[in-house]
Amino acid sequence: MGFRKSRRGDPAAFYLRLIVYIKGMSTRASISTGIKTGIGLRAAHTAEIAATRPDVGFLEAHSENYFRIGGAPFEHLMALRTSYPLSLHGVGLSLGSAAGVSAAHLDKLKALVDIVEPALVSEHVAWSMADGKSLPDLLPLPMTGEALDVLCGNIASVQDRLARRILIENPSSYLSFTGQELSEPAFIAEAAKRTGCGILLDLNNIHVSAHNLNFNAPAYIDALPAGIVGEIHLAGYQVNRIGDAEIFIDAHNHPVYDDVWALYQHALRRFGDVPTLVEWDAELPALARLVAEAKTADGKRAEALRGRPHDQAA
Amino acid sequence: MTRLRDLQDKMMEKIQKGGAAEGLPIKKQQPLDTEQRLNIYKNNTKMILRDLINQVFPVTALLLGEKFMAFAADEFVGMAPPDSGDMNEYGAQFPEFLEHLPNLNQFAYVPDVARLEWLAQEAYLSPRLPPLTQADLAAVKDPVNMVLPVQPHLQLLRSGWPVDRLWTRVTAEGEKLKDFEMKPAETYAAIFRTGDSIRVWSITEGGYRFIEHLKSDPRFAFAAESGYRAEPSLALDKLLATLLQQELLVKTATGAGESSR
Repeated sequence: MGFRKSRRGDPAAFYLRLIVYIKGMSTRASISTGIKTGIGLRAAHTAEIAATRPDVGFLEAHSENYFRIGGAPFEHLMALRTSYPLSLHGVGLSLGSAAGVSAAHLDKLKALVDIVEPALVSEHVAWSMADGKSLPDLLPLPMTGEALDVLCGNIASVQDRLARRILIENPSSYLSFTGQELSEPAFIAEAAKRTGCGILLDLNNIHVSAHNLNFNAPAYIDALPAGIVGEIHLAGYQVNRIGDAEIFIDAHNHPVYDDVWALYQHALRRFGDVPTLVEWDAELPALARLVAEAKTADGKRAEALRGRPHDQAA
Repeated sequence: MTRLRDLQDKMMEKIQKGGAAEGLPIKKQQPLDTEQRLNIYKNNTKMILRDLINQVFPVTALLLGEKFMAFAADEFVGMAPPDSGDMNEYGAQFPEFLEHLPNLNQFAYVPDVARLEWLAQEAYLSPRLPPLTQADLAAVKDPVNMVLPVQPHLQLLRSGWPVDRLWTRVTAEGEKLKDFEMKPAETYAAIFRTGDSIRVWSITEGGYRFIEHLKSDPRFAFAAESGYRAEPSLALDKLLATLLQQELLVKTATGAGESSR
């Protein structure tokens, strides 16, 4: 006797019901100028955030952690969605891969974005996949015309598939390549211009790379055109000694350093108010400490914007 | 300039297999040489993957000890590097890898502990669908032809060792492992989640066969037959009561729907 799956017992049908149910219980909120500083959503803080609803502007979640629709992390994300605007920030799409982005990965992101309807979707200007293998790190691209074409092609594929604009984040780097044809700010600005995407400006990354690769961080910010920065990231870094050298590692394990706060105010004076997020991923502090860091960012932002003619008029 | 694809393929190989920076167009910049700069990425990758394996297999790590676990994780990463940017998928082959690790002969049960932990992660990441209630079941008019789909998060493990009891004890009592005597014993367990908590439920062989059948074919009659064949004295009423109580059966469009044979 052959087996035929009962239509009424088909778990796929229940998946669909689950998704429809979840979509119905949530509302979409926006992340725009004037919003308070957001914080990165990390598993260790999720229950406390749900219980205490701290006064932060928005939550940013790593997309890949919620790819399993209906799993426990996804349930938490959807519960928080009713209280906070959400941003989905990817780490594994590998926008810089010469082989293109993974269709399977993009399908998962699409499914998540369709359900969560986040205010922002972002990824990194980096690569992590090649030769059928993947690394859990963000590797730097050579700033060449060829790499720019690859990056733009991949961004366009992602935006087409998601049917929405994304933000691309400048990388933190420990090496650069010979034969580069563009500066990093020119490279990402051109990618934004060609594809219509925005820039997620990570100021800790600029500071870390500037130290490791000997460039001027404020000049990097000044080289970016106004109007394309859709979000700012702030974080702390780790200072490692390698031989006699001091290298900054983008570890997200420390409060924001004064140098990065200074860059933040420099960027705000140039770009105006931009939704801002504090990231803290390793050696995670108590939630209250993270929220305090977000409040500090609010204060720094108000202070920087006070001097701008447009904001004074507003 | 090396073409981008060649550069990425070469750099990927050197980071994964520990090759030298020679041949990569890395710019020479003081104060580090090109080797030291590439090493930062090699070390980052190694530490992240080691941490990832430790997080997914915490009890396995406790049993093996920090040093041996780091060795095993590094060996595993070298043999089966990730092939997806979704790192939640990574580690499924780790239990099987442990099974073939020669130094692990005297800890033959450890691969099954790792299997249980992978299933626990699967349970944690799987959805909970609207559960079947006792009232739904009572309303069934044709019990012989009813279908009982199980929750996607319900996982099954069969082992020659009591790894379910070991796991429960370690997660409940931390590192107090000295008193636990590991003797071979045919073991059947169901692993599932209630909210964020992972539960491990020791079941009989008949119960295992019953649930195993429901996972692939939700028709109750066939699953019951499978359970009774393995264990004629199977207490199916008690098993069903627990499945209902733990919300491990899924409500169909008609409660406990009938098979469309």
